[in-house]
Amino acid sequence: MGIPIWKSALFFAAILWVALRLFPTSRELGFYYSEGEGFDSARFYLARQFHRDPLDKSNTVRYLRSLESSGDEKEFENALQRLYRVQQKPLLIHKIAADFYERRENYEEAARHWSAILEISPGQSEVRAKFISFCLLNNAREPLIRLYGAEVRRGKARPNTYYDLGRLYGLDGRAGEARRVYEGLLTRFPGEDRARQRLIEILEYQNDIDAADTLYKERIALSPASAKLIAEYGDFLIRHARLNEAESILRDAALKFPADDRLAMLYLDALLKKGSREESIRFLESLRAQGRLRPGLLRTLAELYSELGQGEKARDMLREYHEQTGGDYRSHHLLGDILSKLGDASGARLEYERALKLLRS
Amino acid sequence: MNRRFSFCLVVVIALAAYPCLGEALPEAPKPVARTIVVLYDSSDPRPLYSVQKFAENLTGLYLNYLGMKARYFDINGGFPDDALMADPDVRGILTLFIDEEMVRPVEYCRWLEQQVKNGKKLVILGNMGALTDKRTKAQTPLEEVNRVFGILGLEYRGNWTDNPFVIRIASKDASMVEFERTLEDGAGEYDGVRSLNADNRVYLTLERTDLADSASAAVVTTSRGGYAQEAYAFFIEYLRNRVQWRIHPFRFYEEAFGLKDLPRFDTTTAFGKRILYSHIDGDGIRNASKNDSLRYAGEIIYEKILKKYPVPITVSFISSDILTRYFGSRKLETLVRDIAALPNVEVGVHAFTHPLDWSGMITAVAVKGYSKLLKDMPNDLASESAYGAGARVTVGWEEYLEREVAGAVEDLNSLLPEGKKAVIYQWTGNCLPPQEALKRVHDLGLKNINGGDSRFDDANPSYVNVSSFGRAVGPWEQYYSSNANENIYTNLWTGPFGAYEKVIETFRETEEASLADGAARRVSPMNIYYHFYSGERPESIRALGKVYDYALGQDPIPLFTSEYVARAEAFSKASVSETPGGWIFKGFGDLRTVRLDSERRYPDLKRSEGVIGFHTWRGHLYVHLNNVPQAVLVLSDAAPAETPYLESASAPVDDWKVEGGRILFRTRVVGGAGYEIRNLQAGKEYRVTVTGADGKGGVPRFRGVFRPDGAFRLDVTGHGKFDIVVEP
Repeated sequence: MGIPIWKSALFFAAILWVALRLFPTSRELGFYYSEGEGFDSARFYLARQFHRDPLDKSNTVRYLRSLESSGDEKEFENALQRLYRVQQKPLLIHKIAADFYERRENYEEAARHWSAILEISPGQSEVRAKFISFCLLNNAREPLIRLYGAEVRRGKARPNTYYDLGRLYGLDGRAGEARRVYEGLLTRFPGEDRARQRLIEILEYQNDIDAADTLYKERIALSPASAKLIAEYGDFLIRHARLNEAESILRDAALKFPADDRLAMLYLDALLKKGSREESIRFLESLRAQGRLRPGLLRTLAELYSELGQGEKARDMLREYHEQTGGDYRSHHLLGDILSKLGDASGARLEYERALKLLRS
Repeated sequence: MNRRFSFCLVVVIALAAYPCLGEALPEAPKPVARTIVVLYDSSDPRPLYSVQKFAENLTGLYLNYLGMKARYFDINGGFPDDALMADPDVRGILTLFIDEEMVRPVEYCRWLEQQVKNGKKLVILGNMGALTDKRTKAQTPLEEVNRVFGILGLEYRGNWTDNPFVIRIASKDASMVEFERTLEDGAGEYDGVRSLNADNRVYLTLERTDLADSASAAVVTTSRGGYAQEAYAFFIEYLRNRVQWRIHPFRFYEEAFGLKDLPRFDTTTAFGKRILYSHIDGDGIRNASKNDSLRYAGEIIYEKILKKYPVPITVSFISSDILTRYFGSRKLETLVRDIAALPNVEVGVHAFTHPLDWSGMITAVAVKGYSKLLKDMPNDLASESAYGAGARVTVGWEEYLEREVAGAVEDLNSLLPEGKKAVIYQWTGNCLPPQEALKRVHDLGLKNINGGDSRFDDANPSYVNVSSFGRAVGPWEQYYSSNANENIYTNLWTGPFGAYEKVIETFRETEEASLADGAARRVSPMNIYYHFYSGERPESIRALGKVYDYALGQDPIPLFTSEYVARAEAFSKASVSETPGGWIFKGFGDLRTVRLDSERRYPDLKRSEGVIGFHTWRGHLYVHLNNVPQAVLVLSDAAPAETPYLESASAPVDDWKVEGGRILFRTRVVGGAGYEIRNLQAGKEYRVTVTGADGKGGVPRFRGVFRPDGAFRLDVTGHGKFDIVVEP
């Protein structure tokens, strides 16, 4: 009798099956070794499994990490190429690759993968910072324009991205593109006053002065209490020889903000450019009466009196200026001229000598 | 009557000869002022780790290279006191401000103007810093600002803009303003500064196309200093705190501070060769080797590095790591003794428990009764600390410092073989020791080193990443290691483990900067600096081998780390004076190299004193001084033709004498050394004698080769101090 042969065969087959199930597979060995003894021991098994099934994500990650740890750049590159062929959106692969090259300080290769990561998954702020840093350090303007441009097009960019993009276009002299960026920014964020300012700069550059003027007026309407903004506008008007408008706006502003020196200076500038010497003197004397006349303006006042032929007044102003500041080459020279005209030759000579001394020092 | 006549005659002759006498009388030596006061404002926004570190990175290396000492001063705490500014060694002031705000800006402008009137040079690097009052936000009147600009021969006019459409580069000298980075990234900012003096050298002129008469000197040197606007002085990438130079910092500082043609004390070179020093931090001595888990990483370093490369290497130990009563073992104690017994090893101390944060009292390990792991402390300190795996010291401040410094030294010395004592303290962790720790190290008579982390390679493409040789901490000096260690190259020892070989790039760049202007400029020694844990892995051992092989292949002068630090220490104490005929050097101690850049003349060895030789490297003249208290250097158009001199040596040379054709000197040899001597008499036979000076050097072997042109090369092999005589 005995056990039928088929039963024995079945028994041994079952034993074999159980044994095979009990022995770890290459994949499992790779996993156990990499978790236990490290990648050096695991690499053989990880590679075997990778070549069998590159889409086995966990094993593939372990395999790439093992190659990264060994520094086998060639094998790593081969593995990457294989993965690119079999995967559609290899975000994880790019992440591992970027990490691999970054740790080796091969930033150029790493940047390629950072760029790819940002295309697939734009929200990666750390990767974005690394990529931007790389581009800035290497003067790589175009990749940055592409990155910011894509973020702006997606409609989720923050204002800073618009400014960065506009500035890059500006540095390249691409005014039209920069203008579109700031216009887009204002559409999305109407409260961004800096964007208006940037637009004005571009409009001035494009010689569209009326449009710039309109924007200034918009800005002032939005912030009527800003002396700084009115000063900027006044400066703009003076630059473009709109002196009557400048005079009127700055005079009103100087009354509204009596303590603002910049407005006062701009108003004076407008008056002087218009040739209104008497008005300029009146304005400066009023500042003087208020005790707001800075020493530099005292000299300007003296120059105006001198130009109007009021030598004695000019002389007194300059002497006051010298008392306050010690004087400079220009003021001593002017005083020399004035004294000479007033007939005080020795005084004039003394002033010329002082001017010369200052010039030589 | 006769006597009176004679007296009158003498007076008449003396008066007649007066002009000649005037010429013949030696003028008093004129000391060269060597201190630059660097002003920064600690309340400025931080561009890097700290404002002071930023100031150090943009000044220290360059000023040191040019022979100057930098003294840092935080203007936020007040102006430097009168006593400092009255010190005749103060040559000038360099200001480096991150923003344009300051407390008491008007007083500052007046103070600065007075300093320049007193003869100090002034360099404004970046922002002038005083345009606005930090407290009141009031604008500083232009007249006050122009006290400072005016005295430099400039006029500040403002009209700042960052509108790229109106800024134009009117002219540039690319060799000055495109040093590490071109201006291709555009002229992004304008600030109006008019150059008033035709003698000013303007290197970059900007214009505003929307303003008349708007030429602005953005980078300029004048007879009283210099000015470089921030956007054109350096480039800062703020996302990851990377900095690159735009201006040529060596040339800019040299011109602005009037340093051209001055001799500079040089800590990179000794006896004509580049210094190589090597030091090991004690971390990881008891880690298991990955190849042979029964062996310590320390044993692998001992076998594969210390015994293989018979060059001076400084090896430090963490006392708690090796002593049996803490975490060590008898085997480790024996290993320490074996390492220390090697003739090419000098011993250093790497603390008791390896503090990670010196001031925060966070250390690497928990020792019962001394420190406790952060994770075991209440309030979850581990998650708040940058050193989560570390331990908090639980004893008081004084006891902590005592045990980490004096205690560790005592423990280690008790283990060392006879004749060896620890000579240097190697800082641990953040390498920011407090004043008290530096004082304790100083009081023990030890040198100190670590910190700095210099790199200059394609991943860190700027001199900005190269540290100066140290920093002042109160009255004490901390000396930096000259190169970063393998921990930095291996991403804090997480791999790639062979990456340390990249330090070779820094060795190259700090001698010839292909990443900047490509000029030959040796700004630092070669320093091979690593930890015992490099012995863990075959890749790291291979990398170390490559680095040693490369460095030794450059024909350097290998020194112990303490010998290098002694040179850096002497830099501050040394002085230079100018005389009509040459230069007088005093108090230079171990720092016996003086460098003259672009010097075509030679030392006149007959008229010089204490000068034992010279070596010319790529247009730089390196002059070797004897170990004397004072040396005099006189230069001549003709090369010395008769007096024998030392051209180079790969080991220190002392007591050099030339007596009636005999040359005598003393030297210290570790493994082997070569000496190049010039101007022996051609055709004459010479005899060489080498004797052990201290009787412990064993029997030296030597070989000399005479050449027909009078050059002589002597190679000595052995260990010890030897007296050498070369005589006809």
